[in-house]
Amino acid sequence: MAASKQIQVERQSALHGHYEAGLFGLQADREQSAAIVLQEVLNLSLWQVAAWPDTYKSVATKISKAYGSKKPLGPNKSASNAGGSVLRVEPLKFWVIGDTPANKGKDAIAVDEAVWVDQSHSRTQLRITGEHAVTLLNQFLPLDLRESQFAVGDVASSALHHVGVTLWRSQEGYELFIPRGFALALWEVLIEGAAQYGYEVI
Amino acid sequence: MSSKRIADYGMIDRSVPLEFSWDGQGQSGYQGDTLASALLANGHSIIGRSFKYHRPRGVMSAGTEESGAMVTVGKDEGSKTRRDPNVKATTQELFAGLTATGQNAWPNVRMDFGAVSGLFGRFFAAGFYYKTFMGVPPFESFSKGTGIWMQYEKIIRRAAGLGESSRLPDADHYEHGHLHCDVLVVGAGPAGMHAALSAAQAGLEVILTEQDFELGGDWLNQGDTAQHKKRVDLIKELEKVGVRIMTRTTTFGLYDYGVAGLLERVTDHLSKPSEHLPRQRFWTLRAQHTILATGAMERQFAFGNNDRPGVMNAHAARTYLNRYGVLCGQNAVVATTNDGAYTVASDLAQAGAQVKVLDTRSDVDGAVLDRARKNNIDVLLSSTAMQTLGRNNVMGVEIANRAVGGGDWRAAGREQCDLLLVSAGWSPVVNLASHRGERPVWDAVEGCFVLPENLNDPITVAGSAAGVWSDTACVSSGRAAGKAAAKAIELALAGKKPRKKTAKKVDAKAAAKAEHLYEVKVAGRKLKGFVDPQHDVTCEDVRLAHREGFVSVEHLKRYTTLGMATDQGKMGNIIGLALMAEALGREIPEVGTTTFRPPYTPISVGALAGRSFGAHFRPLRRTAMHDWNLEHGAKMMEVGLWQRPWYFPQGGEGISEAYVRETIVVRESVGLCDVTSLGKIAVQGPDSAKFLNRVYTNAFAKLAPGKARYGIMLRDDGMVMDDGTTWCLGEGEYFMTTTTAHAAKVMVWLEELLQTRWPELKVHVSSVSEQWAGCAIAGPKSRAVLEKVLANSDEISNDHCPFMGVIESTLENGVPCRIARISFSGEMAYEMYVPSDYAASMMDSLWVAAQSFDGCLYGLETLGALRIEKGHVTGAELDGRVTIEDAGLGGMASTKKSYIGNVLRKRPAMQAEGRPQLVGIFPKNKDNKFKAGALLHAVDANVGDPNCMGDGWVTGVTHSPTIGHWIGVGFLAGGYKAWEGKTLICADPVRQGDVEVEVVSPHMVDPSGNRMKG
Amino acid sequence: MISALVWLKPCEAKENDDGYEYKFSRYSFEDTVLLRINCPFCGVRDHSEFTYGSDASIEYPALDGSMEDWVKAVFERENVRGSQFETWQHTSGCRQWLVVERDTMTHEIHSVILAHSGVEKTLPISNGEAKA
Repeated sequence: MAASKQIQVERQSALHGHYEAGLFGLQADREQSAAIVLQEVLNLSLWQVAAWPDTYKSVATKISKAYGSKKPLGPNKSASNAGGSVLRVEPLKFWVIGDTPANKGKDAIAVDEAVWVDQSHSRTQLRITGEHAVTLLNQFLPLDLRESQFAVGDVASSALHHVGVTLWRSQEGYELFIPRGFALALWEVLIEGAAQYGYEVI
Repeated sequence: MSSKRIADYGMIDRSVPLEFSWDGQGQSGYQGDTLASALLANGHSIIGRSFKYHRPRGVMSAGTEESGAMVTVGKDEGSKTRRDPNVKATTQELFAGLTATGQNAWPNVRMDFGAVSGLFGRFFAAGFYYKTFMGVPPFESFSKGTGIWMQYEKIIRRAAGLGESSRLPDADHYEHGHLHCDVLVVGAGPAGMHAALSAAQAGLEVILTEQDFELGGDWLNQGDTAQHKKRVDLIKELEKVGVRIMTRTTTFGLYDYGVAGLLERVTDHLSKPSEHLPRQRFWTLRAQHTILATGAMERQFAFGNNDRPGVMNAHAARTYLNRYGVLCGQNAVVATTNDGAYTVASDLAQAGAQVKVLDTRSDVDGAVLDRARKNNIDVLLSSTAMQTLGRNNVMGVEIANRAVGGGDWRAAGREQCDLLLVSAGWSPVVNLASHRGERPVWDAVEGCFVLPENLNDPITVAGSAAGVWSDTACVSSGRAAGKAAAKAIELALAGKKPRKKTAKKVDAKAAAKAEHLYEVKVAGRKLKGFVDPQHDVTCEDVRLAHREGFVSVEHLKRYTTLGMATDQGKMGNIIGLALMAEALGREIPEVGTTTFRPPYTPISVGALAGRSFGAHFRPLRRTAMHDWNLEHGAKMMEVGLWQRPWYFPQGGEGISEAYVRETIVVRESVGLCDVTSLGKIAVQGPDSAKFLNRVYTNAFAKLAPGKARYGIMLRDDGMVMDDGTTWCLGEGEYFMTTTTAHAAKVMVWLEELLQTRWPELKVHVSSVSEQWAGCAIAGPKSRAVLEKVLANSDEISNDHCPFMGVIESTLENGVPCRIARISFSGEMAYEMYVPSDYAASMMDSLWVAAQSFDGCLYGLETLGALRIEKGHVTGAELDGRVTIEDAGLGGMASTKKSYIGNVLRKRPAMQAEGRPQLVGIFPKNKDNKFKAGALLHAVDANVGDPNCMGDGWVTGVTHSPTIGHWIGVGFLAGGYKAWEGKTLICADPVRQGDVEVEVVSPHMVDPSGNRMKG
Repeated sequence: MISALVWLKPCEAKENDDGYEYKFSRYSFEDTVLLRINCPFCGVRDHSEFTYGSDASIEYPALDGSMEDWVKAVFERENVRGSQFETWQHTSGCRQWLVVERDTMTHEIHSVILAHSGVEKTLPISNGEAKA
């Protein structure tokens, strides 16, 4: 890498200029909180770390520990602590979210144990909450999102309106990671689907 | 038929009157009515006209089997956008402002001129149109059979038919949805409600679907106030235990793996629904276990003019009376084969009607007869209906009777009546299990098809769908089904299979005794009895099919169209099968039944499309500088899912002027082009070089850090798959670019190789297409532009970044970037990538710099012109049929290593001399234009010969600003060498005729490549 | 999803004296199919998330193998009635290539494993327990 210099411009999200906060849809004027709340989580930091079959155990153990899980993460599980979160999205691939590779997750893992790639700009992160969050997601996702089947901490990749997306249920709500180029198109279908319940964009 | 609303009956809400219209005339009904009950309450009897003969038809049932009262339903008076044809009035919920109109009639259903075709009814038997109009004399002498059929078909189609759909865009929107549950219960009658309750009480998640807007099934028809209260309590209990109740929702199909298709009608019953509500939802549901409590349908038998308005399923009259407060006639005759219809008769008598029962049996339970007499009901035993009398309505019935104990039917007088109710027993609704390939079996005692005891799928059948008839039996059958579902799920979780049930023993004695009536025939009388009233299929049509050899039920169905109308045979199939069995001298089970297919009831096409409609037909993919491009005047183009800039017009420029200007500016100064859509793949790991060396045809093993290389990938079969550049960023760290079109395919291919063929390689591939936004900077001033935007301009010097060099650097504003000096245009050029969220700021910086050199923005049209001038291949050339030699890139096929495709590309046919090869094409007359897609052939080719396929084709053309006339690239047998100096014809007969062309080397501008290397 | 609803199933044909007798048994051509595949990493998912690859029983020759072996591997296919091994990719899921044992008659799926045996070993039976 060339000598790094302070970045002087703001990141511009895929929804820039198309994202309007407020209450919309049916009963937009109702007093209680909206049935669906949508929020774009800006300035995503997402690094993918990929282990090798023979280093998997070590990498999984270290990375899981770095983000608060004593056991190595199982398929489509996640762990979070103050430092960030880690999601196991493929057998050998983990996503580190909300942290930078300069931190402990990376420090603990030897160079020949895994490879890292920055995906921070590749996804648009939408947080969906509210009583009808799952109803909205299930308009598109063929996933079983019942409480008993998709608990806090669970992760699933699937297709939403023909686009491959990853859904993560964090403490905050349902986090949808959409490939950036499709973010606006999917945003549009999501708010169309949300309008019948009334939704708030924050 | 003189139907009317009566006081004190029904569950309709008389405090909420609803105004609606029928054929333009104002009518009124109540909340809780169906359109059919409201029309009957207003005294209407003719609701439709039949498909072929235009015979008047009335309400025949009270449910989805309806074959008479088919209407077109609209909303928003005066608007034609919301218009739904072929709606069964019996299932359409009434709402204020509903506009219903009759179909297939002119001027209206009551007085229809089309009815003259009924006079020629005997000519219009099964197969009439085909026999008359398709390829038989006299018509075949005029023209080819099918040709004349096409002409007649238009007229025939107009004369026969159903409603007409709106031709305007659908004003509604629709959506899809996904559901998961432990148990799906289909049907909320006594059995279904109790099945749902007991399954939920066993701790399971249950979804209960009901096509009606009320739960209760037959309970709704009984007029029993005590039962009504129990039903309401049961609903409360279901809600309490957490059963998800979905009313107005039809489970229309069952599929593998417990998947069910559901259609929920969200706004079809609302006058003015919110614009935010979808009209319908198409649900895909996955259940571990399915309980079918779909009930049964009452069946009629065929007799003369049995389609006349006023003929109705017996229990439908009870439904209209007890649920909707409508007495369908004042003077009713009930023709029955069973005890059930006596309840109907009693209810009608108590409501004030004169009722007479014709019972085919000679031996009827005394208690049943006593009750009838108490209600002043006349009962004639060994009697039945032979033919209806009247014209547009039933005015009477001709009665047939026979000797006690059996024998032939003979005419036995007539009886006046305005309502003829028919009951020939019940058919369990087995459609959904039939979707799963289950063959229903004939129950000779009950005279109906039932499902076998052991089903292959985890399905339990309950209530009258299982051939259980009484209320109490249905309730306990439902409870048992709920428990059975819980048990089955428990076993499945434990990996065990459920025990097989022992099949019910057939009561041979009872079977021998049971007699079922399908058709009343009287010697010497010609009776026109309808089997399938919706498609005007008569008993005689079935016998005709038999005589003509269409004896298999599947052939019978297709020849007569029996069961192919919108009710899919719900009304008449059994009669049809029975008649065919009789004609063949066989039993019904030997003849079998046709298979039911989804959907159970019709589904609107909009619901299938869901939100994949209009702007969202496909998801649009936008580059990170999409808005930046638009702000700078781009005209956009769809490339696959991507939106890409096509050209950037200035002033009043059209595309032709714009791209010529852009091309000149690129060749003379500098241009910027959004190339974000190229596929980008991170290839990482210690074995990456080995891996790349195996997938590319040319050498990649020794690509050094800071260097990029152009590469070609072949498929296993040796054809070219894709091309692109791969940049070496460091040890075991590569950045691969692919074409826009093949980005996803290449990614999948690399994953397949690594996971299935070469698991020993330590390589990870990850798509980083969305992470990086890219811009091509092309033209003699490109380096000068980069010098202006980079924090350290030395990094881009020829020494640091020569041709095919790669640098990772930083923009003036601190944004990190990666740059490779590669050229698609043939000019000195670079591709620069920044993390996507910085795309706009990169473009701002580059654009300021480019403008200082009078540079331009350019789009796909210019990109195409530049690459055609250079003879570079792209998706139009690499169409999967092209070898590396065909593309003129044979030099890139290494002879020193092995790679994917290197064996099969050497197959003799792929190395043949005369294969089409890439060439450049000039018009002979430089003023001439030609187009991509045109064929190339020799001047002396015999084009009249159907075997003359020409010698090649044109894949891309442009008006070359550099050369000054139209040029093209294409493939030509033998390539440039074979055609040097010869004239060819570029044939484009459909669009612009023939143009004389000559062949040149595909490298039409700067063949030495000095411009890009300098 | 829609295309899945109209996917046709094969019927069984038996040769007899008169030629072929078509048996419309449980799985006749009128039936429809919607596969659910139990991905070893993601669990049971709709087949809309997966992409069919090819015959998993093919053994690809070395890159410099003989023409004959390559022709066999690329062009010659059995048309199996019954159980066969196929490769599928969980494209909209964990991106893994799978070996699926599927019955071409009944569409029943008997087993699913990851194609990459080294990766298959990293899969825990439950959270935290590796298989190997």
